[in-house]
Amino acid sequence: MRVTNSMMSNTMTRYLMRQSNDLYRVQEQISTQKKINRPSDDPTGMRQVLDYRAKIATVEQYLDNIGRATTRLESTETTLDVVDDLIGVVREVSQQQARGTTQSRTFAADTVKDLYKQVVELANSKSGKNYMFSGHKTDTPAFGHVVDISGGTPGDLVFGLADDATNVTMEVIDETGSVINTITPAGGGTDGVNTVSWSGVIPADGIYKFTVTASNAGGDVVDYATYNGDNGTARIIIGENSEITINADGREIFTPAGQTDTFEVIADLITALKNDDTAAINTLTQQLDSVRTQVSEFRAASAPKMFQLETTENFWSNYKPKLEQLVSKTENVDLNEAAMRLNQLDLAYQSTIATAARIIQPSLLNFLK
Amino acid sequence: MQKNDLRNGMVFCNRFRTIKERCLIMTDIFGIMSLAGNALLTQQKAITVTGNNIANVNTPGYSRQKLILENNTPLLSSAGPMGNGVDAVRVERVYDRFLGLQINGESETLGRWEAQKGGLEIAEAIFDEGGEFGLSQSLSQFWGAWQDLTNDASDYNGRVVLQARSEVLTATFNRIYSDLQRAQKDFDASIEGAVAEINQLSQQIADLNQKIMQDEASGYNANDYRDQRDLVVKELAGLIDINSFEDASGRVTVSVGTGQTLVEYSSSRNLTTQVNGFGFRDIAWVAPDGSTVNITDDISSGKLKGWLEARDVDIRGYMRQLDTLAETLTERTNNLHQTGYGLDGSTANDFFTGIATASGTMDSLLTITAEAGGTGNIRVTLVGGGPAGAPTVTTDPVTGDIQIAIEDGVTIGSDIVLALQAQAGINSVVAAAPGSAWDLSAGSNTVVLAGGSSAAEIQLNVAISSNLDLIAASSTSAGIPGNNEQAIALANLQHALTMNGNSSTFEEYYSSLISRVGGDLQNADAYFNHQSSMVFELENRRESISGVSLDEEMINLVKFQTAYDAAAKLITTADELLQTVLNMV
Repeated sequence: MRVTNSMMSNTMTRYLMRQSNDLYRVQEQISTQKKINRPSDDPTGMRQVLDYRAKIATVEQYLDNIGRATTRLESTETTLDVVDDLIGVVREVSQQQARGTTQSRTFAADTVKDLYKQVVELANSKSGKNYMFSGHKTDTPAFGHVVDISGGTPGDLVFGLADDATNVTMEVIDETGSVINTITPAGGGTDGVNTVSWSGVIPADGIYKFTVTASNAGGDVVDYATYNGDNGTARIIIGENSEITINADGREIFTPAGQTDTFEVIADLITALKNDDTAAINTLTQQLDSVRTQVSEFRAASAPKMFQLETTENFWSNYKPKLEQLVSKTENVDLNEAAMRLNQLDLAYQSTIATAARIIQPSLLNFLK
Repeated sequence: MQKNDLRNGMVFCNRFRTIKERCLIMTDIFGIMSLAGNALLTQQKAITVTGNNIANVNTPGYSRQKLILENNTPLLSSAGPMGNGVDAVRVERVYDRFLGLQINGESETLGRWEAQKGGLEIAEAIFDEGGEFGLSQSLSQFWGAWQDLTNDASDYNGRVVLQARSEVLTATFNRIYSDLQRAQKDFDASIEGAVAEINQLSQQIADLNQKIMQDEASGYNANDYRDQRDLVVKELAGLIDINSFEDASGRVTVSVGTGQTLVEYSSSRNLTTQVNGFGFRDIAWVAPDGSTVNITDDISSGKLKGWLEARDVDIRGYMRQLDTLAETLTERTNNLHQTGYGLDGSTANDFFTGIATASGTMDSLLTITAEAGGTGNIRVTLVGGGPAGAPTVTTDPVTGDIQIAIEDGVTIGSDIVLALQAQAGINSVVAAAPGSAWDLSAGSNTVVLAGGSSAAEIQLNVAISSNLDLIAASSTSAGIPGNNEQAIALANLQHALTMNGNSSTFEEYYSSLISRVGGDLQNADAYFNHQSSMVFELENRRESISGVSLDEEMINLVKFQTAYDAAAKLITTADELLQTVLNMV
């Protein structure tokens, strides 16, 4: 074959370009540590990487959700543990006062009143800024007296009384604590849950607290907290189309249907202590035992959920590194291999340059005189 | 003719006048002189040709030239015919015509893949999936934000994050779509530029045809013009696939498409561009009478084909897929979101907006105007139900309107969608009456068409971005604010098989689109590399035959120089002989 100068220089240029391109690719692989730097490097691999990346993001989100569910369950558990302790104290007081004097019972009534307030406070515990035991009404305290005014229409005022009472007065207070409305139902209230409709000026929309004062035959305070939430549950995504349901209905803990109403029992106890009613105190002591059982039962029900969360968390935590490994296997470069290849290419490149330098320079001209 | 010089008793045979004749003479000293003089001139010519070769060693398309030497007509002498020196017959270029045609053919294919590869590289860069900032990342974060909201349905922060993620998602859709659109426009501009270039090249070929014909009519080879013309034809072939042949008088005829002549003799025809239904340029040939023939679909190679493919097939296909994704995402998200309740108790709100809709009632004739410039998907939903059959979509040749004929037993709009997608320029859609099989009393069948591009227009509902309470996380009105059922349903949409005929998720659909983009580019790259090796080999072979080798020229130079020296010596010798003869007198 006849070889011309252009052929030589064209061939040199072409191979040098090709080798530079190969070198560039290997350099890119080494500096990014990836062998897939763009979809066209490996379309199938890129697709896998994208799918894996999406999965990893989802798994991270699941782990985050599980973390939050765990916190939620744990704070429920901690709260109920304290509730259990407090009710234990109430029961102890009640048991002691079965043999107490009128005077000691008067003091004990004050103690139980404080304990009652604490239990109500715990029942209104928040996780973040949401009430934990109000079902879906996470913006409303679970127990206590509130009235919801929305769209300019006030709801009914619902309150519980431990005894038939007279002189019932409800004072609605705003955020600052000042009384904005006083409602006095005709005929007082009856033992159990009472419902009274709003009367008087309607304030701006919002959830307002109200206090109830009433006196029974003995002239004592007899109201107790009623449930303001609903039966909604907290559901948290812990996997693909899989959610864990956390019971958020405060009634199941404190006032289960057909069982003992914790708040009524304690309110009754305060009345019994004030009234120096030994028989009632004895009955209520026993009822406090079933209250403790109710709380324990509720706590027991969350144990398998805790277990489920732990298992799922372990699963995802183990799964995530596997996905990461898959991503790395698909898109990461084997550095040893890349370095070897770089060496080979470098050698080839250098020898091409050296050859070019030797072949292109001399011509017959150098040897003609 | 013979010329006798009686005084010297010698006969001088003038070769210019005695081409086919033989002179019966004795050799003489003047004969030697004239032979030597001719040799000197001829070697000098050869040196000039060699010099020309050396000068053009790096000229693209140059074919080395050769002075064809023949020995002169011999003279008859007493010793029989006697050599009478050298004759420079003609200058020839060393050239393989078949190779030239082959190079042209392969250059067409090379041009096509070069252009298409360039286009696809741009598309790949637009999707930007090599890093971690592409649409797949935005999608994943969007679903993550929904899940996060489920953890606390009333949380304002969760809503803010969801808003931000949704806006990033829609902005990414919009950006990719408009970048792809811009890329299409760039290729469109390239196509127009190429057409102008083709016209210029055709003109050049016609001019060169003229020059070659004139020069060669006088019996010489128009070597340099031929080299130039070969180069221009090759350049033209890189732009568009051509048919070319050379006639007996050395003129090249070039045609494109289905035989539309670009160059004939010394005149050339122009190509022009016409705006098609998509607002892009089609390529047309201008006939001598000024009428035009659209040859877009007949172009099968060259850069033009590459740009056309990138613009009308590849990128358009990606845009469609992106549209389908945005549209389905909008539709499915909205369906769920509408049944949920916001924190403020509001319901039936769309989450995304951006599917442009046009609707009409199907009676005897329905004209549906989709959004202006709608190059995206057209979605047809039969609201009123009714019998259906495979729809046929045709384009009115006069008005350009698209007519959908829905026949007996039609099921639903997806067939219509497919049929419509095959149509160019969906600006105006006319649905013709399907006939008696479908009783179309006015108002009984409503057709809703969604036109325009969902990927370009998708955005978070403005009402939601200005009031995040509208995000419907709750499935019931009573469940506000703690109920997160709707948010869970929306988050679970991530895993729903919504795309590709309910066979893949949104994310899988998108990653397969990316895989398609990568695969297309990989293919184009492979074709390009293969083709460029091929052209390189052929060019090398051409170089091997026609290229200038400096070493060879140098040898020739020495060779001709030596011959020149020797011829000069011959003159000196003849002169000395003459002196000797004169001295005898």
